[in-house]
Amino acid sequence: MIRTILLLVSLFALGGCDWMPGKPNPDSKWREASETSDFAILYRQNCLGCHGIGQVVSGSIAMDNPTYLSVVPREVLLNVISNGVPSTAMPGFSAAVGGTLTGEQIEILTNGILAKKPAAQPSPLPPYAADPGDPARGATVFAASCASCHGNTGDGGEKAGSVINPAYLDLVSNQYLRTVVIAGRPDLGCPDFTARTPGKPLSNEEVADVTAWLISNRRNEFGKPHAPAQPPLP
Amino acid sequence: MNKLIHAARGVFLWVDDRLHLTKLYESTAGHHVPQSSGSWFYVFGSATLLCFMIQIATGILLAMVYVPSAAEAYTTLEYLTFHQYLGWFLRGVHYWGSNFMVGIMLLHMTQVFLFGAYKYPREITWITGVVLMVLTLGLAFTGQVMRFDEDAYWGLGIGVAIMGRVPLLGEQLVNMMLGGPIIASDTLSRFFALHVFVLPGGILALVSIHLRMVLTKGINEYPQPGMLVRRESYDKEYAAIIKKEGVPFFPKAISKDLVAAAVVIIGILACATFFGPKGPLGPPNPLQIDTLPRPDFYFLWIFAIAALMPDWMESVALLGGPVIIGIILFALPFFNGTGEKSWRRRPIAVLTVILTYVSLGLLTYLGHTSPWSPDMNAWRSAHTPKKFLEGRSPLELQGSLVIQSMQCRNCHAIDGIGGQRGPDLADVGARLTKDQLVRQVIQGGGNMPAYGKNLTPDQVDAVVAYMVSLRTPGVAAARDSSQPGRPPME
Amino acid sequence: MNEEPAKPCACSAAPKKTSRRDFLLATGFGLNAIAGAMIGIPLVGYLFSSFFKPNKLEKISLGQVDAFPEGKTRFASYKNPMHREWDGQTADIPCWVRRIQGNDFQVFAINCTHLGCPVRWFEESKLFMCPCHGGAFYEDGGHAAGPPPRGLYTYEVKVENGELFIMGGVIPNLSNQNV
Repeated sequence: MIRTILLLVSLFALGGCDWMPGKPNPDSKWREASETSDFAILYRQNCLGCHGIGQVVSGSIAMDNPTYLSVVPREVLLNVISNGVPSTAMPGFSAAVGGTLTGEQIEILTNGILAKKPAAQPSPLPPYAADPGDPARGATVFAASCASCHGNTGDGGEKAGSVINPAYLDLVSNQYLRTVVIAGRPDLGCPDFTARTPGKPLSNEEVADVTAWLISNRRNEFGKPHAPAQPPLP
Repeated sequence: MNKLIHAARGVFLWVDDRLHLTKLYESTAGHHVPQSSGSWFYVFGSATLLCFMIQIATGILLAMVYVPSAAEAYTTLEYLTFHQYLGWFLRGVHYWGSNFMVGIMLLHMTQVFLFGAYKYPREITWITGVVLMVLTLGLAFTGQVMRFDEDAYWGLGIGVAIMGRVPLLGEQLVNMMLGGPIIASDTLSRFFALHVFVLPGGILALVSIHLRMVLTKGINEYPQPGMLVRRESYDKEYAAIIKKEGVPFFPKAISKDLVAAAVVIIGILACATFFGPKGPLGPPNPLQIDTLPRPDFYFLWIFAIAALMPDWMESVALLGGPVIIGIILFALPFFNGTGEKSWRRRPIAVLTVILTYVSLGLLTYLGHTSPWSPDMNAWRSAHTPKKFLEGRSPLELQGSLVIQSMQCRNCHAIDGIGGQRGPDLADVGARLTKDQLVRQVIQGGGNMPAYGKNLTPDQVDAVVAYMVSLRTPGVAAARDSSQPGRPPME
Repeated sequence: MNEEPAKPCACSAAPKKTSRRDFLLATGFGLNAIAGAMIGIPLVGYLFSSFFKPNKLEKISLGQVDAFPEGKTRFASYKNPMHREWDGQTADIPCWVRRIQGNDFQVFAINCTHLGCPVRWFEESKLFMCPCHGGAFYEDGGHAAGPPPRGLYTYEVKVENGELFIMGGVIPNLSNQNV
């Protein structure tokens, strides 16, 4: 026994402790933030505050919303992450606009998000972007498909709040309204375009019309209708 | 056989005659100390000295690889940590050795204070001890700069900012500290000179005075309550104690010091082996500003004071504080040089120690958690728990996005997630009325910036609507007491 | 140490010899005082050289004006004008450039006015925030919140032929604010 202890101690003393737990792992070496290339880490560090994923719910559309992923074109996603969406809460992340991510990291984020795109996509799939349709017809579509939650006039019902609040409408882009009409917020209980009226998905026209109706509800500070100049869609 | 012993004795006597070994022994290790000083409470001084010896040994070995140049220090640190055989271990021993040295030195000082050992006639022992403490802290700070990473760079920046507050001489002091007007290679070189030559040299010189005082004025006897120190009679009393129960320090009173020494060495080695060295963190690249500068453990309390002090007294306290503490420590053996030694009859001394330790402990803890620092990345990474999003209107959801994109989360947590500088927003709707929220957001105040210029009216609407909704389900929104009839959400 | 009683000196009776010894001793002390001053003064002068040399600001280019978008604040850096070869990365000094419009610029030092930590710019909230003790500054460098005693330090700015220059070369602190 004593001999074993002595042996261990002398081994230890002779510098055989180069394998001990305190030895720093080369992986723990400091690295530039621009070298981070893991999608999960990048997403958690940069996106999670506003865009939920998996179990996390956030204020804006979740980046694993299957309908959203089915319609959003890759170049749009890349452009929005790089440059942001002016006059909304979405900032740009590329160095060119003062952000902190490199081009490769934005590619990694884009690819990682699109990797969650479901194999089976709903049909008929409306295009991601389209001109707004007719607001009058849109009002009818709203009454049929949305009013049960958002109220007959759109200013809030039992289950969901107002979608015609002027402050709300001023804070979002036309495309955001269209995207939410298509993709919904399933994480917060709002169904996508296929499920609003069970068995009868909204058609392309209906999506465009109800978007137009939402846009037509924009009001300036004097309560008069106005349409703030929206940036051209990417 | 007898002849052999006789010859050996002759050789010994010859050596002793030439080198005076017996005399040396009698006047140093063999000097007589009160038997009562062979106590566990008396081991901290020798243990501090032991730590210093370990620092010298490991420091010399580290200096064989380390290059004190701003361009190369970081590379050699990485080499030491990851490539040099056992380099990590030496760095670990040096790092933990410094922690132990500062810690044990504090224990030593506390024991000396509580046992009244600074009183007559050991004033100079105490004063050299205080200077040794300053030098040791100087070693700790300069040592932190030797680990030339981002913390070292910005730690120097903090030093500049403190020096720059000195009236009249500030600019010159900054230049002298940095070796130029900007943190650069000269800065590291002069901190290296301080850390490796000046401060250890000073410590060696002062330790020799410190120990000489122990020999000439004797080690403090274990104080008994009621035995008062009087200038007229103490020397005689001490001589009587030595005569009555004096034993040679070696070998009669050293055993506990030896045990403590082994415990300290094993403690340092164990920490180095199991926790390893600290850092290096990111390189000392000034352009790499995604950094969270923090001082090492022993200076966290100063870091905390700098955060918590009202700004009007900050310069006064940062510069005057050390001066006042220094004066008190220097003057202590003169205004309190006689009387009771035992801590059992010195309640104020005991209270002072407790207060000092509690404050240092709390401040260090606060410095460690530093709740006053914004979490610079919380705005894009801190999510909001689902219960604070469910059932919210589209406007309120936009408000939650405004809270993210306007970096509110850097200072405000929601349900504990996010920065800790400002109040948690999880129940803000129950605390503030809508009007109060609007005012707070637009005008700021109470350490919050005013957002009036940076938010559109729509964003204010959204963010306030969202915050009103932030409260425990079933709790009513805050009401304006001056208008009791008014519904909260109007 | 030398506690042996001084031996009575036989020579003390002879005043002549004593005065010669005293003279030698005085000469020894005097010569060493002179020699000490001769080595001490240069050493002290070397150490305190910065006390007598006023800091000089130099004109440093931050590049073309057009590299900075109007109405935005961008990260920029310059080489320490006194940098040496062995400064490594520490030769690079960061700053924040705010182009208000046209040739109207504000250039802020990176150092927080509280304790010198690097402030970071947040485009969305238009605030500079400090990671150390939570100081915050507005877009124009004004003090917004936290312990800093004043707004951000600003460099003197010059625009010549479409190129942006600053007067720099000193780490800003409370006793050297005009950086």
